Amino acid sequence: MTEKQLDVLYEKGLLPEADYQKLRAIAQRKIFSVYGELRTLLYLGVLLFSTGAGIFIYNNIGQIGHYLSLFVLLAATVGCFWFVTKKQLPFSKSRTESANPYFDYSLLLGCLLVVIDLGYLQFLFGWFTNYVSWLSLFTAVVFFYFAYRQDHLGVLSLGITALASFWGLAISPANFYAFNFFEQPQLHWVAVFFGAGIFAAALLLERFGIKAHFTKTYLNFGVLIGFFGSTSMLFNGSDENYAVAIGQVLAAAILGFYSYKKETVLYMIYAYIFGFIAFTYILVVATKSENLTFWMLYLMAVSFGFVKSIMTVRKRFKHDS
Amino acid sequence: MLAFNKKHVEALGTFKLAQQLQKEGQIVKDANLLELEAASPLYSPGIFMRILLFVVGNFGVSGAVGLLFVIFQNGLDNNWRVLAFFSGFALLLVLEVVFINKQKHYKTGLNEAILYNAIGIFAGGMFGFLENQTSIYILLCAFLCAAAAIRYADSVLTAIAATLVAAFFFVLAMDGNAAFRSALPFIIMIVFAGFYLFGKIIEALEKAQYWLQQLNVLQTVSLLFVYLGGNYFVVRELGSDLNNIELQPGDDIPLAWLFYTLTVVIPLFYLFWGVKNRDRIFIWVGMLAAGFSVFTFKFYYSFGHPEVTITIAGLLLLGLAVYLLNLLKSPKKGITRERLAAANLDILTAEGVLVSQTMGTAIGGQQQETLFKGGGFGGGGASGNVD
Repeated sequence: MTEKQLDVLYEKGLLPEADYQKLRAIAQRKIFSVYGELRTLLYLGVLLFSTGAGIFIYNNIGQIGHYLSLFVLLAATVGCFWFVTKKQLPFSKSRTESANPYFDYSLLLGCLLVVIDLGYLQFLFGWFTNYVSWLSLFTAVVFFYFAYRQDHLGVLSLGITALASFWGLAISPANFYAFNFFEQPQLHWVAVFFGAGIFAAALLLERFGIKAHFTKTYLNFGVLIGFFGSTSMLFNGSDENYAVAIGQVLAAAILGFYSYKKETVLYMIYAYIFGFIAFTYILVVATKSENLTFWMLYLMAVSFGFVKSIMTVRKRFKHDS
Repeated sequence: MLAFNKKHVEALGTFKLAQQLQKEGQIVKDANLLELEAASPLYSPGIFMRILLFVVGNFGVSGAVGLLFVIFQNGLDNNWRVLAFFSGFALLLVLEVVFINKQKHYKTGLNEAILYNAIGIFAGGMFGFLENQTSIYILLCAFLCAAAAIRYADSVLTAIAATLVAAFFFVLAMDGNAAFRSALPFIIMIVFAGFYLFGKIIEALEKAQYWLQQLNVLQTVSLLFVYLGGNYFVVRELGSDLNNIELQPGDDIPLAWLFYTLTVVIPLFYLFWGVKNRDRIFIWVGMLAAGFSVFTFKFYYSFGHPEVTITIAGLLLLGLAVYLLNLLKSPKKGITRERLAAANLDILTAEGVLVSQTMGTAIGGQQQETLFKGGGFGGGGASGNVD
């Protein structure tokens, strides 16, 4: 935003005088916001504190006063949630603004502390030994409750992560890169169904108008987990997996169509990449060609065709960013 | 200098601002922006479209260039360098004629895909000629990136060009004598302080408005290098690499006191200056630098309990944030804690992703690890959960 641009908008009569003056003051830095900087500090504080406290307890089990540290942790957790409940706004099915600058981070810290608390309780008393996977489910339920009640996208992501870990899927960037988030073959199918389930659930919730702005987060997780599941089936399986590859191409096509319908390019990215992988897989397995010229031409043709087609419908995505 | 029509770029910027202001409510909802939109024929899509086109564009370009190399692979020998230059030029030609002039692509992702590949291929071809003259090679690459950064107003290439300049001096020092090696930190600091000033002065010029983003990138990277040039950790570790010495415990680098001081003073100065002059670049680089300074000191003077440091650092940051938020409850000297109109908050809209990427890892991993250990589940990992 430059003063010159504001002048143009003002002269064209698009900006009311009052707003024009206000925006000019911002452009000239007479008013200066540190909103982003302070939120980053809070975020880093929560991140460092919860990580540090988690490791500290893990390393010092048996050395520090157990009941004291457990008490401190529980008190901190309760404190966070108490603050959140005290400041909360009434529940709404649509998006709500956060009530207070600390609100989001207090909630986030509370939720992260819940995980540490539970781990600590298990260490001390071994209560959950036989219910380990149920503990993930419990965490997920807590997270989902707070995500919906307090309208918090970050906690929602944590909830989805916890739910996935209930099903045995360890989602984390590190695992994604190493392609080893499925140690067991049957987990491939779990991932595919989990992804599809998340996808369907999100669309259903959107239909009922419950926190429609959460849909994007759900779909992102669903699409990525599902496609990673089926893609790793293609490459980790020993036999030629035509059925899975064809399924993946179809799923990608449907996702692309959905993206087109929704006027957002986001899912088109996934649809293209995973569809391309599966389609190429079919071609490689079917032709077994080692002719490099053919493959280079194929690469060019596919990219050219795709760019051409998306350019012809680009008007549809005009308001997408 | 600019590959794009300046009037069009200007009009596009105004239109995009108007769009944002309309979203935020400063411009009435039913105001007609068609006239503004029509003023620029440039095609400049949103971030997702840019990512998509960048990915697809990369596939396409590698196909095209790969095809050339496959066709001419026989009898290529040393001529691959010529072929590299040829394909680099061809790519730039396609970019200019087809995409920029005819199709009016402006930072669409496709532009970047073609441009970066062209630069990469040029750099590869040049390497074939200058294999044994690393410093000259790096300098040429820096010029190449800088020229492209100016012509196509590209931020990534701006950052790469600046980094290459730092690499150039480093390589020079590797080949140079001892005096030059020990002067390296100061050379880096002076050169990049110069770059910063250059960026700052140019920014104020009327003509520079098409490169504002790139000038900001240049300033950011320059401030980072000024800090890194004087940072004790960087000087010590890179210095012993350069001079091929292993520092024994108890040994220290020459002028250690100076670099310790710089490590402390520069971040504080950045933060002070940033707040005083309301310069966001100084504030952000200052925050980053402060974090790295803490790391530097903890690296050499650690109590062996990083988790305690992390916990305390977290508490301090939380305390600081709460203090500042309270302080700014009502604006002080025009500095406010509230979000303002037309602010660029991309980083915050990505917060949800950030949380799940950074903290989600902690949850999945930590919970399972601790629980499995306590519960005596053999094997651990994700597998134990599915029964």
